[in-house]
Amino acid sequence: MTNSKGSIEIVESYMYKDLDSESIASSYSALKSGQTHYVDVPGVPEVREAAAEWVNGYGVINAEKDNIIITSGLQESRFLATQVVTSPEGQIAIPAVANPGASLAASLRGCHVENVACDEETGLLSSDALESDVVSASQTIFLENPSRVTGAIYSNDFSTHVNRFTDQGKHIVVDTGLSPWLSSVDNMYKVDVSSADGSIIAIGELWPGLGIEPQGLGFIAAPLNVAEKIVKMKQVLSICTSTPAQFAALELSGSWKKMFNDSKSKNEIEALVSL
Amino acid sequence: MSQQDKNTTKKKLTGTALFYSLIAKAKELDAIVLGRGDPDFDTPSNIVEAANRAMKTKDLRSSPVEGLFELRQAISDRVSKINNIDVDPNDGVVVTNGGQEAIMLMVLATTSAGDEMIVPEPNYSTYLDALAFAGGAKVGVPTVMENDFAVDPTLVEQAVSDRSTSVLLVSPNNPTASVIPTDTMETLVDIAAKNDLVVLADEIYDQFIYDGGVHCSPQSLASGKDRTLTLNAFSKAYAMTGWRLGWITGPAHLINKVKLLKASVSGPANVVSQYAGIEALTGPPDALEDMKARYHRRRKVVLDAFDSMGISYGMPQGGQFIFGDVSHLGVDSVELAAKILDEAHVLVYPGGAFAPDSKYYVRVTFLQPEAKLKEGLERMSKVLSKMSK
Repeated sequence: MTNSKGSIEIVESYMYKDLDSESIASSYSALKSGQTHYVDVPGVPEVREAAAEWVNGYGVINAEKDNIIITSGLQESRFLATQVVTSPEGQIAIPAVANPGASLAASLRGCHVENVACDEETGLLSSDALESDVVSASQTIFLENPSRVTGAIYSNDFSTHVNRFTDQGKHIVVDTGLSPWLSSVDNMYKVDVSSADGSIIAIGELWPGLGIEPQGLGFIAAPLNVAEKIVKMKQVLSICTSTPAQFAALELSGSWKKMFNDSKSKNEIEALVSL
Repeated sequence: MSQQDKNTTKKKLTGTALFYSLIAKAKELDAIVLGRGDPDFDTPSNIVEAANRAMKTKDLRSSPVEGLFELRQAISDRVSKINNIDVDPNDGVVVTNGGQEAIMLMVLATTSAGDEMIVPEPNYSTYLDALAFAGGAKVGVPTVMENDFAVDPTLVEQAVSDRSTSVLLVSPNNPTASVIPTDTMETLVDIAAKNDLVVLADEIYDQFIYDGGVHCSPQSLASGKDRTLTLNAFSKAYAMTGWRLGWITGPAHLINKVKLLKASVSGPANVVSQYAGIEALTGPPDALEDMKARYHRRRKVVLDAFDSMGISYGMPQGGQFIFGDVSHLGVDSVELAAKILDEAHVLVYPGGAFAPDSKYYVRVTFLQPEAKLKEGLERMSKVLSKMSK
């Protein structure tokens, strides 16, 4: 790993590489042809379509275009997702070992953030923690899967806890953004957004590692009832996500998997998620 | 959609949600859009070229949350030259995801639950959405057409209470297109200073002033310098709505709050857009001057059409739209906008979405090529003349 331009490095827990020339050309072409105006609040339809397909391979299942909101990056995803399922007088449980961005986003209007103790080795919430009074008293639970600190994952059987939480009327926001870095997502708990009136939301970066991150491009995958609320909030917050990013991403989406795997195979990416 | 559904929609939707509902319908109908504030001009080519160069040659990883220093410097230079505002690019500027995010950040930075914001009305609905989100309350101060929607400082002063924390000054105003004259602005800022209020200044239309008017920035005044957050954006002046790029300037103690909020809400603005913004502010001004000249001509087209339709208005002194009184038709503007959209496939914005007292007004933008603008106004005129009979 080096810091020189054009090489690959790990920055803020993800690999970085400059955007490929085809994606640059596509973005430029779109801008040159007049794609410089407001676009749909939840995103350019073709980008949402591609994003739905993509997230279904990485920690989410049953997402369709209408479940997807394209955001101005991971932090906006955190903000929109947590704000629509919390209230200023409410409480959100966030693992003590997590990226601080989640707490910043959730606490902005005064919602109380309760940091829940994590397993020392994995940084995940243990079964005891998940059944604790603190979690029980929270209206919303935020999780990272994989953990942005350790790379550890909640496995398939985590759905037992999720079902219990949803039965209790709680909302769950899961940051699945690092899942592309896993060698396999087979055993990872996946967020199902197919329920029309569900309460589980997935968030993360879109097509990471290949240079789109600095343009700010994130996603929210949510059940339709929640997605509608998030779109209304994004209308007020930022109207839409920038067109240069969306049109570059549209091109990148077609070639991302091959380029990402090629880049990953040349670097020590596996180490990142098993620290 | 059934009539019952339409009626339900009309009853339920207000403000921003109502606008988006109309936008969606206009898109379905391929309507002539004289509602939304999206310039018909594409972004000038020198700005697009700068974005392309940035994607190819710049290291795009390094933007701090408040924006690239080079852009903050360009913004500092711009507001010094255009607005007489003196800010340090190091701690006086935050780059945002467009003017919309700037509104939210300014309101959040100055409003806690229970705080009151004094708002001359009518006004852009997003301010009320942001205020509601922050848990604050609006204290409306009316402006009236007969007085060209001028803000009355006496009414502003009367609106101050123990819970007041800020006053919103949008000049040119959206939707009324009124411009606050320098002497009135000085009085308003003095009132803010006397009552320890933060001034939230929205100057997104400051490049579009007509009939020899003068734009005055509250942050440029001695008593406003340390208590004003000023918003602006690239969307309207540089036809860059899709790029999502704006800024807030202000004193360090307020800008620090904005910066922390920006980190919580979204992180840095799109870096490619930021490089495009540098070109917009430092490159040749030809495209902006050309757009200004065209808007000036189009404004006259709308004024003439309003005159022929019998629509009264306060003289629009700035902006990219005109706010007209349609009370003679006896129909609520939400219903009227829906009728014009349904029958003429022309989108105008209902005044009621900007303020309850403006329910007999419509806002018509002139953000279409002249021929299309005329066609839209003719179609609208036919609907109105049928209603008058």
